[in-house]
Amino acid sequence: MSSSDLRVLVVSHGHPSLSLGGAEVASYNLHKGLIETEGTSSFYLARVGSPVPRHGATALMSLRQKEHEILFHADDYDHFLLSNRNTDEIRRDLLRFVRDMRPDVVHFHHVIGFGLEALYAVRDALPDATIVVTFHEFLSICHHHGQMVKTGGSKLCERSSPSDCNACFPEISPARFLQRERFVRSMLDVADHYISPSNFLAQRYVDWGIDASRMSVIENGLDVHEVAPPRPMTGPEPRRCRFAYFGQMTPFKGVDVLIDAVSRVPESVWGEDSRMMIFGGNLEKQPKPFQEHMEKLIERAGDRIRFYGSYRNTEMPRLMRSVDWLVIPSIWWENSPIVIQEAFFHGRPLIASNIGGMAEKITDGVDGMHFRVGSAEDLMDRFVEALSEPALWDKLRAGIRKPMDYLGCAREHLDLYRTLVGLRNPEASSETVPAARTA
Amino acid sequence: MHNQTSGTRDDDEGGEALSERLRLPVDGETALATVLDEDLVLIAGVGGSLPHSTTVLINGDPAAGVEAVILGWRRPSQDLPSGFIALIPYVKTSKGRLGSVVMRGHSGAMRYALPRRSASFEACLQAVVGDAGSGFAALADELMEALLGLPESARRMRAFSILARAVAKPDGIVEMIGDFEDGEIYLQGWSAGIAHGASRIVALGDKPYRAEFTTAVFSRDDLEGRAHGFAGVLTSADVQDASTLQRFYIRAQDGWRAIDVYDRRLLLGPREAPTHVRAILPRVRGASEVVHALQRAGHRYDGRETVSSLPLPVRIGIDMATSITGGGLFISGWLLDPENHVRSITVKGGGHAERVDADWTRRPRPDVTNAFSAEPLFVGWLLPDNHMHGFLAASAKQAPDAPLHIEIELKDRLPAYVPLNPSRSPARHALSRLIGSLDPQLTATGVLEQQFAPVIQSINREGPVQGERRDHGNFTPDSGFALVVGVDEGADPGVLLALLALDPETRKVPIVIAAPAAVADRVTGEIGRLAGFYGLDLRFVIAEGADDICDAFEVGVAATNADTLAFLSSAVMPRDKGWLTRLERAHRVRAGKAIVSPTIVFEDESIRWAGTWIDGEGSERALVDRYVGYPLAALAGAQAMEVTAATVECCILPRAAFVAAGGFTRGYLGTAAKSLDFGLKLKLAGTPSVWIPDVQMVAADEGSGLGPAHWPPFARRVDRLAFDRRWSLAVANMRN
Repeated sequence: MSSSDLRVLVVSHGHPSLSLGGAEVASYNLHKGLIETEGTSSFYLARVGSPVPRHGATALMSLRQKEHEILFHADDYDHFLLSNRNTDEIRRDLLRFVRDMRPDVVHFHHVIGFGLEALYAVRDALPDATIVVTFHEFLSICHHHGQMVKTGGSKLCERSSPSDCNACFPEISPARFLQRERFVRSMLDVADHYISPSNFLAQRYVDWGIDASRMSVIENGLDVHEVAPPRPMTGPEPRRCRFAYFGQMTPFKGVDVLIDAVSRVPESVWGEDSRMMIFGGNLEKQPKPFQEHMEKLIERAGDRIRFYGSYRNTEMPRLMRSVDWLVIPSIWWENSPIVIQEAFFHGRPLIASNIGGMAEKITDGVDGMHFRVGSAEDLMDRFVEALSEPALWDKLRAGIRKPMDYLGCAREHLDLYRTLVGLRNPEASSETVPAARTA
Repeated sequence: MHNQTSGTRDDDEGGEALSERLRLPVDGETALATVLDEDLVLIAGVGGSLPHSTTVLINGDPAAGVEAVILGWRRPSQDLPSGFIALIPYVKTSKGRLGSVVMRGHSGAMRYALPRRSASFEACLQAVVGDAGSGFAALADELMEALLGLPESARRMRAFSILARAVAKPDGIVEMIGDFEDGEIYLQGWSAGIAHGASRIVALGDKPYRAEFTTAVFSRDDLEGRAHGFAGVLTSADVQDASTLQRFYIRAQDGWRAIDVYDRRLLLGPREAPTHVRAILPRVRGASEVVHALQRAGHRYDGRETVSSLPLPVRIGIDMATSITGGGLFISGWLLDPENHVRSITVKGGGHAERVDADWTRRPRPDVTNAFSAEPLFVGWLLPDNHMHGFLAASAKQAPDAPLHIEIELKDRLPAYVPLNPSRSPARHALSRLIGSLDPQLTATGVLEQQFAPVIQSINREGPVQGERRDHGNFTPDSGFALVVGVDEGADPGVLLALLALDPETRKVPIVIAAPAAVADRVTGEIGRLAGFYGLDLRFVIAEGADDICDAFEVGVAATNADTLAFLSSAVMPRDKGWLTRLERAHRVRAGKAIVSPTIVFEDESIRWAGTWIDGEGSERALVDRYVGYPLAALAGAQAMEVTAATVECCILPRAAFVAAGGFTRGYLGTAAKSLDFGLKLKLAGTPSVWIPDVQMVAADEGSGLGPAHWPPFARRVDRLAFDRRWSLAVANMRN
């Protein structure tokens, strides 16, 4: 690392070695890409919480992670205000670290756990640093797990407001939602710039009040190297008839719509060879009514569905070998699910709900197919098409464009960082920030 | 004669007065005079005989004649055969001091010059004794009767007791005193001269006072026929402290008797006295009205609930009773009285008595009908469709701290009682709890507001005071400007602190946060933490006795010496940075003499407050929040302008104006009415109110989250009535 390198601190609400969510992977891939890019240095700061034990004297810890990685233990978190009540440790440990590191850019990928106060504290401690925030869902806008789906059903939410949010959470007053909105928006305003992996999410934030001129869209970078070959087809009448679902079995992911649709496909079309392969778990952690609903659907679908349980990201290429199609039936908007990029990387067309990030990333009839969100009937029709039109799979596969890898992603971020640092501190940018180069 | 002031001084200087040794003038031309009080002068002298009452001309002025009471004694002198004492109602004349009197006697007018200096009453009496000799006893007796015949005053009673001390014979003692709280005292003891019946007496407590003593007598073996026991009830116009009673004077057949209170007398409280009266009742003798008076005394409230044992179909239940801080009492409950036995319902205790059923509000209580329809006493009396047994009573009179009870006066028997244990609570809390327990339809009728508004308006509790105080950062109370944040109950000031910290202009302003004690436990630590984290210069002060943000503002103002103050409710948040500077600028432009408020919008960007104006004509003339509810776009192009009233939820004002207005008026349930009231007080004092449209803040309703859904509209209606009672006349004549 040279003293003239652009120093970047990537902050994530979790480390992928401990919590394998999309935002954790995306932030880590960015850090990895920055490290491998000449002229930059990157440090990865991830939040960790219970049940991981902490040290008494400091919230900072390493947990034997790699060089340039550090963890910050934070547990006293207010999910409503996205606020960290343990401001003492932010001041004592987080600020000590950022002052020691003196990053040029602090890039938050999430504030969960750290709290919005971390933005304030970093800005206060490093008045000249550039602060960037990447949004991975609508948590700042929506208290309902950041999904922008109405409570008590699956109705999509188009726009939040204190009174709309009060309709979802009658026990929380509009006044309290107003406080939330003012607090979150004002805290986010501390940042210099915002990044969204999808245009859809970016537009939602702009509609909510984020300054459009301070918003960029940069897709997450993929860190996969080995492409899974197409599944070898066997039997007397070979078909592209293996469908897969990768993800948690939660109501928001629409897995119930998926199973319902599978069981509706006529037997003459489904045949003996078709399979719906489900990679994911945690059904037992879902609300009881949903579990019961799922049990009925699964029983009806019979052996058309196969459950393979949870998987690790590194298993993806191997699992993908036995799959022809991927299905994303989410009933929430999604942002830029990494599984879309992974499917494209391995040349698998997708069947996805026709909303939000899914509709944006998958082009109907080009690299995949859309179905009406939440409609098992419409999804069934897509299954019938996939199973009945022999040339469809090849046609859609041909339409797939290779997704951006983590190095390309890092380059795009670096370009943006340079611009922002230059805007914030013109003299410093010309003297100390070198032009980015890929390794 | 002295003027009143000097007379008072002479009379108060008892020690000096007693040392006087005066002689009664016996020249028939001068007389002694003593000012008994500001309305009564006593003159003593000698001369011809006088009638028992005669006209006296003050200073000889025929236009200043008054009727005087004359008491006399015979003297061994042919020229001047009569001594006299004249009680003269003093009439101030235009001719200065009382220098002489002319009295019409049997043998013509007699003129007496009066000395410049008033004698003391005691010295005057000694002079009379010197001349009247053995005739003084009869004279004193007449004088005591005469004093009792005049309207009572403390100094006349003092004169009476001086006379009584001189002439009354000791006759027995008081052994037991029962305190009935409301002007009645039970006395039991022995005496030889006291007869049963009702008598006028003078009692000596802290001071002498007149009373009625209705007593029975009873035999006591221990007195061996030399005397007898007495048991009676002393009634006086004012509530007296029974424990201070030392003696009383009562007129027996042969003159006044003094009954001393035994120094080891038994003093009974209101709860014990009735039991003792009941115990003595079988032994007493006396006229029926005397015995009845003792029966009533024995039946007084002794802490027990007696309604449920009535053999009549009368029952009562109290659901809620709250004594309002600063005045008033709310009671909700039910009364079942299908045969109309009840004459009145009165709340009593600690000398307090207020009838509450005269204007209470009845409400349906089918549960009460159902609960009692099978009770034997009520069978056949409860109509299935009549459920109007509930009541809501509001008393504007402040209840004492003493234990209270309800007295149910019945038409044909002695009263029945129910203990009343009101909780103490500020009006807003008490009423919101009460309203929360009611059917919203009842609160919408408008009847309750009429009942409660006077109670609310009459509240005059003491203002809140500074409690615990904590300074954070580099707070200094002596800066010229301070931002005073009033925290409402239920509010979370944390977000507001963050927003103030995020605006560079408010981050370094001295901030005073005042919060009611009720929320202090919840927010004290949190405010300290946030002040430290955000680097704010902040003073946090607990507002003891505060009920709302206005109270909090008052305590906040006292916690800083700043000449210019910004008020900000914790429920109001800035929409943009720089708001305070823009308001300050507008304030400065008006020479720092105005109260300046921004626009406040709701969470949905409709207008919550954008100026208050007087609108309409004549009786329709009223204060109007003109743009309220309109979309924010309605204010496009609006310029800063003077309005009738600003809003205290967010404003800048000079401290002097706040102090001169006396802060906020109590007697409202909500801050909106208090704010309006304050705005009008400022207007009357000449402080202009200015609205700055393009500075915008935001606040949602239900900042406090207090009470049920039908509470806020109810509270607004009560406040509107209370406000109108105060201001409607002024507003009708106020120019915009």
